[in-house]
This record gives sequence, structure tokens and C-alpha cells, in this order.
Amino acid sequence: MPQKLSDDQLEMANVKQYERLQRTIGLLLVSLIILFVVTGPWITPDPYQQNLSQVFAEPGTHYLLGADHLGRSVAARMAEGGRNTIYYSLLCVVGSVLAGVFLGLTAAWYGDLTDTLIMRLVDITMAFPGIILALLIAGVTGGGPMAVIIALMFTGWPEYCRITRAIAMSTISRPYVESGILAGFSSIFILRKYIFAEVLPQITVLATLGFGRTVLNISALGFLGIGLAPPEPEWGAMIAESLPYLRESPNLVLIPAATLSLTVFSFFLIANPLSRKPRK
Amino acid sequence: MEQIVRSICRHLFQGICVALIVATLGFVAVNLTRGDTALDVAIARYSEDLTDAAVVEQIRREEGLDRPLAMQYFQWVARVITFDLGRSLVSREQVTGLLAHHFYYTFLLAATATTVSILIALPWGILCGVYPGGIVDTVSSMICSALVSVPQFVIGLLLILSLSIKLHWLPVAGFFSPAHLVIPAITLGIGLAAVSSRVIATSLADVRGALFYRFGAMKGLSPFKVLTAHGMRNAAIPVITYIGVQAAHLLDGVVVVETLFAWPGIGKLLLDSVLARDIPVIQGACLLIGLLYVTVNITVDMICFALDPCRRNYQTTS
Amino acid sequence: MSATMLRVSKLSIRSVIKRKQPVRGVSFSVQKGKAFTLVGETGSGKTLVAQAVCGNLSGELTADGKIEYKGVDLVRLSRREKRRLYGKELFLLPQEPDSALDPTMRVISQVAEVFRYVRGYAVKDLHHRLAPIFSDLDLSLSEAGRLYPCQLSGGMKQRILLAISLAVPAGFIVVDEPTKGLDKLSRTSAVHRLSNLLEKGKTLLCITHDLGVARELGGHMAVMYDGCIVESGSVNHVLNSPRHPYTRGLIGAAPENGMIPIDEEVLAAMKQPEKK
Repeated sequence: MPQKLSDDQLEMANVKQYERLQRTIGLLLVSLIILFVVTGPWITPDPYQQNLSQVFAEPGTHYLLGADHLGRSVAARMAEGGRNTIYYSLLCVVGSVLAGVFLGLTAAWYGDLTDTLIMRLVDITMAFPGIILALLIAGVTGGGPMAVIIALMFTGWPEYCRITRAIAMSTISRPYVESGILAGFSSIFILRKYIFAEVLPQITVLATLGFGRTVLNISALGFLGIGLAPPEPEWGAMIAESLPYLRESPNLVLIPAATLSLTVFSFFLIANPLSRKPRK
Repeated sequence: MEQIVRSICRHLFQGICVALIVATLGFVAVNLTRGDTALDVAIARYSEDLTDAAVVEQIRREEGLDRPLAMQYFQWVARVITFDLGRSLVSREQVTGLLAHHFYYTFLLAATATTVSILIALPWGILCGVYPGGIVDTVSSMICSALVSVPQFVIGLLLILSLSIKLHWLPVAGFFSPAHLVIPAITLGIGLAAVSSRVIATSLADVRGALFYRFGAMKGLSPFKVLTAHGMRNAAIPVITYIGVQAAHLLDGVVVVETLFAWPGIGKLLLDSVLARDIPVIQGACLLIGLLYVTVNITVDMICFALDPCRRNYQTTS
Repeated sequence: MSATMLRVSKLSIRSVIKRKQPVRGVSFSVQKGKAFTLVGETGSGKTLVAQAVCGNLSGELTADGKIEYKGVDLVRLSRREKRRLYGKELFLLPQEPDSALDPTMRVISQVAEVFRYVRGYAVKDLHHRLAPIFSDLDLSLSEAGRLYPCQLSGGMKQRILLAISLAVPAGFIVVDEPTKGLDKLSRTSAVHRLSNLLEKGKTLLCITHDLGVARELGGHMAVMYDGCIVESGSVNHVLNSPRHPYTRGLIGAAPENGMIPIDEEVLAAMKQPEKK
């Protein structure tokens, strides 16, 4: 006898399928963008080559996406800029994750005073607005990507630290970990085998999410004129550069803007952040 | 009661630390890096052509920039305690006055943007939360992730492109009339609305799954009554807590939007004074931002305490 | 002879996913103003029967058969139609007093809203409607009523829930595990308050694993095992002269009777044959 599925079951199955679809699309988009960015140097002309006779050239065979106000290939600059953005975002995220997970595990493992100190530090750092801090560091040190990376790492780690600590704390109090401790396993073994295994999946999701946000922040700083120095392309900076020509050739603004949004969007698709509950 | 006092102390400590660290950082960084502050100030004050060695020396003497660094710093700290933030090196205005003037505009922008976002997010989030997993919820979750992925300055640019350049409905930037407020407020409000409508939706969906909510139906209350009596208040707590946690990100958004629209607020003031190395103003602005953060968080705490005397959801901030 | 309030006939519950039938062919009827106790161990399906009656079975389960409440078949009702019965006709007294009360609302309002919005009394009448209920349950209206659920002890929360069940117009109350996790003293008072509900003219369908509850509530009872009713009848009859070996085993396993484990053979004989 064929069994009829109830509405709730169908709904559940749909949600699962829908989430998997989202993830696949996200991964596909990210791979495409990375492919474009990595193969950029071979398929596009020199991103710094100015050609004043080709200023504002329409998209065509030579200029895949057209040329900007100095006659440089937009496609080449997009690839180069994307490489910069993704590279710096990766640095920021890896740095913050490492710091956050390390401090979170330390806080959970040692507890007491160590825990209190680290959590106060988290409290303080959480109150720093990232872009403002980057602005400050970059502004007074004269700019450069280092300032951006330091500022974003500094404001990025507390989130990972908090989650790591919360998960580690709840794992440590579980019976199997407690018996592991009593059985005399070394702390490194327990941290690695039991606790880190619980922490990792959550942190991966969070880091994917954080990557998208870092791309946003870096481009916002690039837009404000902080970060990479002008001839070096960066998506946010490209938008700022082309702003005066918004009326005549909106393409120059829209192409980086769309790519930027798409990149962030695909990372969010993978991490599926908004259908998730806000973290406690 | 004791908990309220403790949380206020915690946030005060947090805010004071932040403000002091940022202010100190600014001070140290400015003085450690290459360049001559007095020269920068002179250029900012009189423009490059009119600056010569004599002017620079005069500024150095007048502003006390020739004294030892530690002394300059402690003098500033001592003055801050007496609510005297000094004068701007560039315009020679009182920093407190300057901050008050710019803060008015930031407040105007932030308040309008918040109102806009509440007007959008509240009905939208409730609609999604009432039918979680439904079509409205799914589609809106898609739209929201898309909106969150678009950088704020791009949203602003698109609004300028469509409403100002193409349609000529609204002015582009600056602040001269209430019409200038519209685009910046919407830019800031949309991002806020996208995030908060999702938080509202998920927290409402959570509350609807809670036993006491279903028990409301069991008592014989109408669905609408259960929603208003038991749903709203409980769902509001995580939403408001979230706003407190996100306060720092909110301030970031304000800076970007203010810069984009040449809005004469705190963010623009900060960016300008960073570029001009106007230390007293940078430090003053940082103190103010720290203070804002503290105020927002203490307010959030107070509201949460008032809404939830059992403090069930309370400890989500740390 | 009192009228039949609820008649369950040949109720079966199927699980779509696991292709099992956790409840098979259960029939019983509940008389108006009396208690009916459904006794059984964990996994016997008694809670599912209660859920089927209240119409809140989880999505993967479907009920077949008839549940007639005052002549209306509850199995056929839509979710919305069932919802209209809640509070007005039937009411489920929840198991967990901790999570059943809204933590952001003073308990007095949680009782008062029933009078205000379900029964539609005017605001000025509320006080003298609430006063007798609260004093009945030894709760002070002006003190305990002003508190929030987190400020109350577990026993007091339980009493607030009872106050709500007294306030609702529903005459038929399903009670799920009223003595679960209670110590002996609070158990006695909980059962005592349930019989109080009976005195107020409510009809009870009580789900429990505790034979003592059945004994004190009186009325009728049924013993369930593995999705079937093995024995039913009046409480006196079943408890004093049990016919079925499982019932006898259950009585013998009660703490006051020496906690003798139920004979394995008896259990094995009743086990549902595994379907292929």
C-alpha cells in the first residue's frame, strides 16, 4: 500500500532539498569567481596598461568588459582586484579564526581567571567598530593593506572566540569527555579528539560567513580610499574611481558592484546564514 | 536589581576601555609615524601654498606640540576628565562644540534610518515568522541574503543613480533640506531592515514553537490574541539584544554612508580629521563613539530587563 | 447514569516513516463528570492516545478510527475546527509547568486572560472571578499573582496551571502525567488537586504510569501495553481483581507492593509480532 506523505514531511524534505540547492549554487558561483580571478593573468591584458585612445571603450573582443577612464582593461582589473580582495580576506579570516579558536579553547579549558580575562577582552574588542578602527589605523599610518588586515583581524576574532568557548564548555561538561579526563588522556588529545571535533563544523560555517563579511568590509574600505594604493586595483576602489563617470558610463561602477555583491552573496549562500537562528 | 547594576558596570567598563584604547592608539600612531603633525596642521589650516617654516613653528609652539609626548597625552587625559576635549588643530573650534554639531546630524540620520528599518522590518518579519518555511518566508529570506550581500555604498549608489540622476526626484548629497535626508536614511535603513526582519522572523518562529505559546491556543485564545499577548514580547527580546550586539557594526555603516553622501555627521568628521591628523578631534570622536556604544547597550539591557523579568534570554550578549 | 462525553472506538495510530502502528484498535469511553485513567509504561502508546484526542499528534503520525466528543468525530475535524474547541470544550493540562507559562507575564494575567478573552468578562469583574480560584488553590492573589513564573516554585507553577484549567470553560480536561518527577509529598497534593477538578464538575482523561493516581481519582481505567488495551473497567474492579496477567504484574511492580518485576513470559506473550 503506497503511503501518503503528510504536509509536514513534504515541507521538511523541501527545506532540505532547498538548502542543498542553495549550497550547490553558492559553491558553483564561488568556483567560477575563483576560476576567473586565478586565470585572469592569462586571459586578460595587463591591468596597469593605459591606452588613452581606448578610454571608455565599449565591451568587445579586446576589452572583454570595456575600458575605464584611463583606457585600462576592466576585465583585467576585475581579475587582479578580485585576487587582491580574496587574498586579503583570506588572510583576515584565517588570522581571526586561528586567534579566536585558540583563545576560545584556552578560555574554556583553563576556566576561572583565564576565562574571565579572555572574555573581558572579547567584550572590549566587540565594542570596536571594525571600519572605524581600520580608518584610524590606516589614516594615521598612511594607509596600505596591512592596516586593513590588522584592523579587520582585530575586530574579527571575538566572534570565533565566543562560539568556540561556548561549544567547548558544553562539550567539556559531557560525560564522555569527563571520563576521558579521568582516564588520564592528555589535554592535547582531549582537546583535539573530542572538543575540536565539535568546534570545527560550527567554525567552518561561521568562517564562510565571516569571509563574505570581510570581502564587504575590505571593499567598503577600498571605497573610502583606504587599503591598497590607487594604481593597484580593488573592487571597492574601482567603484570609487569610476564614480565621477557614473552618468556617462555606469558600467564601470555596475560591473565591480555586481561582481562584489555576487561574491558575497555566494558565500552567504554556502553558509546559509539568515535561515539559521541567531547564535546564542 | 543587582544584575542591572552589574550589566551597566560591565558596559561602562567596556566603553571606557574602548574609548581610551582608541584615543591612545590614535595618539601613539600619529606620533610614531613619519611626518610632522605641525606641518600637516599648517597645511590643513592655511593650504599648502601659504605654509612656510615660520608658520609651522608658530603652530608647534601654540598647540604645545613641542612638549614631550607623554606630557601631551596626560594633559589631554586630565582635561578629558574635566570634560574639556580641547580645540581642533585645524579649525581652532572647541572639540565639544564640533562634536555636538556633527552629532546632531548623525543622530538625525540614525534615528530616521532606524525608523525606516522598523517600519519595513516589523511587519515583514512578523509575516515571515508567523508562517516559517512558507513561501513568503523563503522568498524573503532569499531577498534578505541578497540585500545583505550588497555593500551599503553600492545600495546608496544605486539609489543615487535611480532617484537622483535618472528621475531627478531627490538631491544627491550634502545636507541643506529634509529632502537630502531621504536617500542616506533609506540606504542605511534597508541593510538594517534586511537583517532585523530575519532576526524578528526567526525569533518569532522560535517563540511560536515554545510550549507556552501552544498552551495559549489550548486556553482558547484566538491566534491573533496569542500572537499579541505571548508572541510579540517574547520575540522582541532576542531582537533587541541583537541590536545591542550589532551596535558596533551599525556605527561602521554610519561612517560609510556619511562619507558617501557627504553627510556632515560624526563619521565624516572622523574621516576628515584622520586625513588631516587633527588629534584632538579624532580622540574626541572616538570617545563619543565609545560613549554611544555604551549608551546603546545600556539602553538595550534596560529594555531587556523590563521585557523579561525572568532573564531567560538575557545572557546572550556574552 | 451519566452521559458519555468521549467515546474512542478502534483508534489506531500509524507512523508513516517507521511504518509502525504504535497504537492499535484502542476503544474506551469517558463518562461526564468522572475520571478515566489510562495506565501504561513508557512506550505503551498512552500519550499518543492523549495527543490524538487533543489533535496535536506530530506530523508523521496519522490517526484512524473514531474519537467522538459529544457526538463530533475529532479525527475528521480540520486543524482550525479543532482549535475552536480548545479551551471552550477540551483542554490539555501540560506536563511541564516550567515551560507552559509565559516567562514575561505575571501569572495573574495569564489566568485572567482566559476570563477576559475566552469567556469575555469585563475587566472590573476579573478580580472577583479570580479571587475564589486563587483562594481555592491556597494562592494569594495579591502576592503570588503579582509574580513572574521564574519567581515561583515548581509546585506553585503547577497550581497556576490548575487555576487556568479551572478558569477555562472547557469541561473535558486531558491530564498528561500529572505526577511525573514529583516527590511523594507533592505527588499526593497534585493528585488531591486533580480530584478537586472532578469536584468542580470537570471530566478528566488522565494519562499516567502511576496506578495510585487511578486509585485516587476513581471512575474508570484502562491498562495499555504495546499499543493495545489489555484490560479496562472500573478502577475498583481492575485494581482489586485484575484478570489480565500484565495488570497483575503492574500492580505487583508498584513501590508499595514490593516492586516485583513483571514476568518476562507475560510480556513476551503480548508483544506485537514483527511485521515483515
